[in-house]
Amino acid sequence: MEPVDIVALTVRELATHVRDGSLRATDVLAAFESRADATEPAVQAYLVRARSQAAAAAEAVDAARAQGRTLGPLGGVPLGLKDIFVTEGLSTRCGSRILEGWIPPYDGTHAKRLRDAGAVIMGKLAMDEFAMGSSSENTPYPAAKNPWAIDHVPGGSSGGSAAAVAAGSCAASLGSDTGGSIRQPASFCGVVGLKPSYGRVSRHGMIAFASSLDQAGPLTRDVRDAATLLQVLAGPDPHDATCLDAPVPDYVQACDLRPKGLRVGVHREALVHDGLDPAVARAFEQALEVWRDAGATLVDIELPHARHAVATYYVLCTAEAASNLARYDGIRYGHREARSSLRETYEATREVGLSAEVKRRILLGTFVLRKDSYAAYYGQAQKVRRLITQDYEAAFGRCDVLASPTSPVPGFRCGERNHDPLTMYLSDVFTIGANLAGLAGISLPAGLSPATAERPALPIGVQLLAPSLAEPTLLAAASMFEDATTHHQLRPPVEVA
Amino acid sequence: MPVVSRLECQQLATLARLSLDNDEAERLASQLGPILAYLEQLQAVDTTGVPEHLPPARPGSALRPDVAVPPLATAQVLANAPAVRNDQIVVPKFKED
Repeated sequence: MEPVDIVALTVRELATHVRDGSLRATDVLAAFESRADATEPAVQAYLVRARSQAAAAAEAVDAARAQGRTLGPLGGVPLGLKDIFVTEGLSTRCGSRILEGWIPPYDGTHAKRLRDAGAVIMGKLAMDEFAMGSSSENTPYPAAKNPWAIDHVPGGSSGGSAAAVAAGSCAASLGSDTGGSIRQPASFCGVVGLKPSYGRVSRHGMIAFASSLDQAGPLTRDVRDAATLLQVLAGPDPHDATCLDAPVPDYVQACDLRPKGLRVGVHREALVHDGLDPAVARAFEQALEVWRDAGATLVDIELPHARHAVATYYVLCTAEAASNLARYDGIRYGHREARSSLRETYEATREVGLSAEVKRRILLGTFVLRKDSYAAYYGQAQKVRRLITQDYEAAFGRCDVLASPTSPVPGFRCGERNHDPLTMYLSDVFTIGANLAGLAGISLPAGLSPATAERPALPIGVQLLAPSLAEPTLLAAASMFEDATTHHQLRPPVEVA
Repeated sequence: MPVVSRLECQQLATLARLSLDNDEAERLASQLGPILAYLEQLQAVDTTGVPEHLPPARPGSALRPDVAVPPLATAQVLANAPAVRNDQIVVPKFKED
């Protein structure tokens, strides 16, 4: 038999090999550890490597197989988790100094379900502090880089999760998406990023940024791997009352469905966008042709309030963040700057523990929730959110999925945009609507921008959105595209030490 | 464009239990102005008769049965506390004598 290039295998292939005994979980882990050792000096996707925990988990999988026990669907598959997910006995800082030293005494639902399915958790992945950012640069820790061009950002806030999958330093990863934080980095790094419908996956053990918008989901090499992870993660959770008790269909099988007469909606008005990169516009039009050639019908749709989505989002997410982050006070866990009074302790702890973007959003959130500004900002944003949600409901009466670019631009150079927060916020224009309306969304690799004197070849993503809980339709439409293209098979020229 | 003064920024910081030195307050105030100006577009949207967004109540989102489960052990909880004495978290004085 030809030697297998282990790190090139999909999640499904790895699980199959470990289950049938053609690969041992420990050998799979060794291959990915070795790949991570080579890529990490440049990519910096991991905040923490959990070598001994991962080795123990892989040995446990091999032992279970040797004893004739049935392995879980992710038996022996090495995964990375964004540092936002709470992991028992493994540092969880959410990219923030204020959680320095916190070793959680429990697993969140995500870590627990993945471990129960046999996954081997290799470590915690870099991110923007408290998931606030679009470049993974808002953090006091080393920022993850884009494996396609090391001087470019991997996107954010799940930048480490996307970079690790693209670099092959884990088989798949978990990210979180509050306004595009799974889909945008997936697009920048040329991988698949799936944001499930709000409530499809538990939020228990995912450190809260904006609770009405946050959702966990996988970043993978292909659509079927994303479906495989969603299958493990989805379903009700007694620890999260917003997690839906809806039936969990067979998501992997859904990838093979070819819905007759699939209608792909396009909101043309949104494409008239000053900042839309011509290479992104071209890749998007080519992607539409792929769906058309595969038998789908393209439908122009209207979303009259979509132009207010970014403003609505930044009122609501900052308000929720200001409330959620009030818990970090240096008293019960994490970092404490001890002072003689309680108030001084709070203030000094938060001064040292939180960085500029987090403070900026807390102040904005405090402003919009103040009695004097509540009605004009927070209350009004909640009403506009309702209008935006109604627009999507109307649009999905005319189409099954909605297509757009994931981001108006490919990945940008490190440091290029972090001096201007508003410009950074505006780059979320295509992804935010799904969070406001609780929709399912996915970003798919759609090719590379042409290399020029100013810019290397960089991945471009195309996004699909579907109604809440319509993941089967979303995955079917996504697979339809993937099966007709080879973009997802491209690998970055990552610098290897 | 709404102008946020350094003083107003300091007042927000006080509400949020953040302490900002003058330079940081000045810098954040100058950044908040353009962001708030952008957010002001929402006030032009006609929302007459529109209720605030609430996630739709779904039959599937139920509360769990009200059954007591064992909590984390005291030692596990205290293991992460910055300062502990006699199985309790030490806090600075918060009440005047």
